[in-house]
Amino acid sequence: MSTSPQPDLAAKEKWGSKIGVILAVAGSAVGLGNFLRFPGQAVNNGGGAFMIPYIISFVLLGIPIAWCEWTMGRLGGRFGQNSAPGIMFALWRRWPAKGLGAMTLLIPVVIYMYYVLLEAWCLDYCIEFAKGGFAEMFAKITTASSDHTAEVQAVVEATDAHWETTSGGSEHGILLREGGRTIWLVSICFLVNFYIIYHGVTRGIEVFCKWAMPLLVLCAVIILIRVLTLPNISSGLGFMWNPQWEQLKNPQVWLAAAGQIFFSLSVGFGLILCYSSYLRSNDDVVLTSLSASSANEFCEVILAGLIVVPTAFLFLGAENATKGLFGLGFVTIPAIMHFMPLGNFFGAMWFGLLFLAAVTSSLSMLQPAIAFLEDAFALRRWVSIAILGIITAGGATLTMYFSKNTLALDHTDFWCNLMMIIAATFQVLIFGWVIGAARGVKEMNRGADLHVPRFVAFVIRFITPTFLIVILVMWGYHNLPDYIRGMNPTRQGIAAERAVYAQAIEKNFTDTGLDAEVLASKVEELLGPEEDQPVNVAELPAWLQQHQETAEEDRRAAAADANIARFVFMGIIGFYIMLVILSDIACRNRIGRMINQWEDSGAGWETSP
Amino acid sequence: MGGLRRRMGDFAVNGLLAMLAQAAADDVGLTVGGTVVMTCSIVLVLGLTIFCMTRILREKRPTEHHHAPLDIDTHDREA
Repeated sequence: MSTSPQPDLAAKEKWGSKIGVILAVAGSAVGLGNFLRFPGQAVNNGGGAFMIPYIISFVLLGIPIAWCEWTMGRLGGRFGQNSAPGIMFALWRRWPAKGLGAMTLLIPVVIYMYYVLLEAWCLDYCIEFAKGGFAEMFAKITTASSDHTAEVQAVVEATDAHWETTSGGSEHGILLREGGRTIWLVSICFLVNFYIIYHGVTRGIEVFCKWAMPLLVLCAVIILIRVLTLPNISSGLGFMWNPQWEQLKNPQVWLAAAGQIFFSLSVGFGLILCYSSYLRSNDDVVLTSLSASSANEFCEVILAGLIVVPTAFLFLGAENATKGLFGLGFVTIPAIMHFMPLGNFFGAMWFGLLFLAAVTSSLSMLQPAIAFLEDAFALRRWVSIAILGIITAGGATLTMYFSKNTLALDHTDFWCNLMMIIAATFQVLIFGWVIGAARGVKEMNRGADLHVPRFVAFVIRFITPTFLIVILVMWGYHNLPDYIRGMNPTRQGIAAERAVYAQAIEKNFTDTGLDAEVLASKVEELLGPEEDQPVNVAELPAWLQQHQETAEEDRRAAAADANIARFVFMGIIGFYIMLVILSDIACRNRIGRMINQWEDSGAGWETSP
Repeated sequence: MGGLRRRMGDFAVNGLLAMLAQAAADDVGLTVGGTVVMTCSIVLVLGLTIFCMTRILREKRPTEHHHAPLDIDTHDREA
């Protein structure tokens, strides 16, 4: 037994109320993915039929992982730990726990580096709608065009151009050179987030979420009522919800549904782990977790599912209603507001609610790192905030700099998504096989108002990890090769060069009436059959050699983009190695000592293995 | 509470029937399948949310049990 002094139980911060922690966790889960990603995924993957794999994934994947995380977090809190490395090490004193803890710590910090930019864009659009900037832009278009189809096209083109300017999509570095407004808005978002975080879990995050979440839902309900009272909304709802049952045979649809549940519930990357560590040892995790998940589903299925795609289809047609997250969020929705009565008001309200959703999510991304710096190195809160502020500001600046086609953002997001699935898989495996599913469920039920049935232990031990491993393999199989190829400058350069020549060949022969197959063989004949071989310009006909300059330019740009992709990957790996080292140092020193002290004082495990 | 639940149930059934009728009459809009999937999804999610929130709000706070009234005279100052 250690003779070290008893740990100070009162010094550890705890949540003020159950509803506070539910709103904080729901706030961390409810974000842009709910309002913008879900409708796009559903409509592109079978409409109403998407809900079948979605609900199955919610039951077999979302709820069990969330329960595991809540239970592990509360347990870690009993050892005095609030950060992923500490919690993982308290539950499993082996070296892989440190690596997993470091990964779980890394993901939210890296996501914050680009998420803060999305937050700033939401604020930007909210301000623009509130002061009538979009109305002015649309007014110019309305006077120029008369028929509806042309007007729709013109409005969408205008919002598209506006989005390109806002996001700095045309070239790298433009946001830092000319985007003074974006820099200001990102700075404001940083100040808001860090100001709330500085006030701690109870007086900062909890108080903010208690106001922000009801306000967010109220705004969304007002918009929903407006949408459901629009004439002919039935056609929009039909476009979103009419099931295409044959799509259920497509494995991609099942993968998309599982991915959506996984990413939207914010499970697997340490946010819940951190938040639940501030619970008291007998606080109910079963009902609290289920409530937070259901609140997230309410925002996703009911609010987002009935608002975004139906309205987009009603006003702008199918083509604009099926875009991805950015297209739907920052191009289609602003265009809708032009056709909707009181568009400025609803536009400001919509982007205001997205901004609130983004802030509640970004707070949860910062807290785990703050907790780690405080737990591991006994730093004061303001020092932890200053260190995290400098690191995230550096990352956000790089994301802003490499803004062309949101390149850095996309690549960072891809690697974070991959790490999220890996981290969640290991967390569930630790819960099911290291702690033991039966023991874990017993611990889960401690203080629970709603008891988890025994078969959940079986689900957590076998079904959920299998489901996660299948997602990991399938997702990697479909996405990894493209991303790895995207990091090869030579190959990317050659592909871009060939694309320019191929386009020129197609353009040249289009009028001659050649069909697609003949056209493809013509491209192969002129450029060579090997797709990864550079084009021999000297052997090309003179009319094709005219495009050499454009091809060279595109080749250089594509190679540069591949280098940026490589830089992002190496940066994330470097950051991860640094965090593994820091976690190891902390677990050998302060965190390790803290865990031993708390264990000696009788805290920690209360359920026998 | 029971009356409210019944009225809410009637409202939901009437709403669903009206939507099904509209779907049947309207070729382009929401089909019967779409209406059923949409309604089931909404009922499921809303039902789960209401169930959880009701359980949370109905729970008695621990402070109501654990703290003794302040006016208990323990007579400890008499000695």
